[in-house]
Amino acid sequence: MSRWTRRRFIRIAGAAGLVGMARPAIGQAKARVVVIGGGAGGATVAKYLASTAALEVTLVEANPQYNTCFFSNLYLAGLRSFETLAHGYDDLGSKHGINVVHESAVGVDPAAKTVRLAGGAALPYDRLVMAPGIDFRFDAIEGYSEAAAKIMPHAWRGGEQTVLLRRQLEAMPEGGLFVLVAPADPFRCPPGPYERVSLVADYFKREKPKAKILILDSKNSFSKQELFQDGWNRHYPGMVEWLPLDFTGGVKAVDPDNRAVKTADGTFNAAVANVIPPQTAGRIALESGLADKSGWCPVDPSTLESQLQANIHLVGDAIKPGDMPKSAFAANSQAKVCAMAVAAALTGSRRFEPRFFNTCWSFLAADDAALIGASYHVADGKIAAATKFISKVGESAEVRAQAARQASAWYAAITADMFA
Amino acid sequence: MQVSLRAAIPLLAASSLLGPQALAADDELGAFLSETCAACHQADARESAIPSISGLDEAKFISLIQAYRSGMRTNSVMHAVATSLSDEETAALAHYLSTRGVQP
Repeated sequence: MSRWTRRRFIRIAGAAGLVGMARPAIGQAKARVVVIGGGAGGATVAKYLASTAALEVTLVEANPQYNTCFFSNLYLAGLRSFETLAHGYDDLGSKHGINVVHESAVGVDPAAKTVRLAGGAALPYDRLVMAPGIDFRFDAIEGYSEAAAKIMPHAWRGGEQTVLLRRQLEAMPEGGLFVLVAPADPFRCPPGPYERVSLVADYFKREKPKAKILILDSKNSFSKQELFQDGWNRHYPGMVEWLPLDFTGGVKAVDPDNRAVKTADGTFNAAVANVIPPQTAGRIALESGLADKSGWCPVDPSTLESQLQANIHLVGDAIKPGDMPKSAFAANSQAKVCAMAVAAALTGSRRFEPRFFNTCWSFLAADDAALIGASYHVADGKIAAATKFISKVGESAEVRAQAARQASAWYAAITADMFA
Repeated sequence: MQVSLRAAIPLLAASSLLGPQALAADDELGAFLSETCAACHQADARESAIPSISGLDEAKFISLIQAYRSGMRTNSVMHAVATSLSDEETAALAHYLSTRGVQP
């Protein structure tokens, strides 16, 4: 309704000769924005830029559809179909007028302001937004590699890895051991590994009640720890064991042939092993000189513009996000501030005080969800938390069931906000 | 009849000049603020666990935000939203949501 109204307004305004005034100069082409990456952050930036500003927006995304990593733990538990995690780009093209290019971006020339595509073409831009997500540090664990991930999946990017892990869980013999290797901070979706354990346990409880789950962690504490451990005790007593860094000395190596995980002082033979390695910003960000020594990309918190390259903005998991976690919600929130800043820089539209928001819901069981989140503003030169909130141990079953229903409603809303 | 038409013309002219300009500033702020709402509140919410706020009455919206801010209504997510909004921002958002709704 609002969209239709706005379009109609533009048409009327155009007929009255007003639209030309909004452009940089009459007769000059619209300013060009290229967005690399059509995930949670990139799709949102492209949509909001195309919807709210007189800009020519091109979205470069190799894949014909995006499979969300968020909510994929429900699929692993058999509580959601894989198809419900898939989102296409048709609406971004036809409804929002974005030029969607299904090709890989292979390089950026910041001086010439062009993006090079795998097919050889160079896309010129006035501003570039990169939302490259994460890449994996396969070298961090001896024996782990892209090939090893076909036997010991990370399933930390939505798609075939997620399906592979589901098939392994389904094929796992009764009484088998599921080992999850969790990375050190920072990484994509801080509560994600522990939600995964919760929902795999939910599946085991129904289908393979003698199975065990072992978490080999590369840290000594984790997000919503008290809430998760309370949930495991209530729903899956005796099934889940968590071994912190100080207990094992950390995961040193894996042996895919035997599905074995080696710590400083022991070897664990798994029936199914889910190895989530440490991560960096997506490769193209590293290769374009946008990351610092940490492997993540420093940005101006008010505009999301790179602190290392002019006219290039970054959103989502690839950035150093201040107090925000690396989450789809955070990427979507950063994307809106980024779109506002890019539109202001290119069209002179108004700037507003940046504000950000995040909520991470985690399922402890199908009808028991806990949440953590905060509002954020820019303070002390970073994206800083303002008001924080977190669920409490001991909340009623009804409160948790309501949170689970809200999580599902959020998924429908935010994927529509990104892709519809 | 002729007299009343003539009287109406200056009124229309005045409202078309002042009205949109006076409202435009608020609506740009309201539009930006509403983008945060869109992450959870779908315009056509088929799932009722997070209600639609598109078309919500302005005064009703303002009183809800005040109740979430003060803790009269308990919802941790909405409390964090409400404490992030000034009274001026709340008014701009209330007007925008009542007339346009969420989503660009």
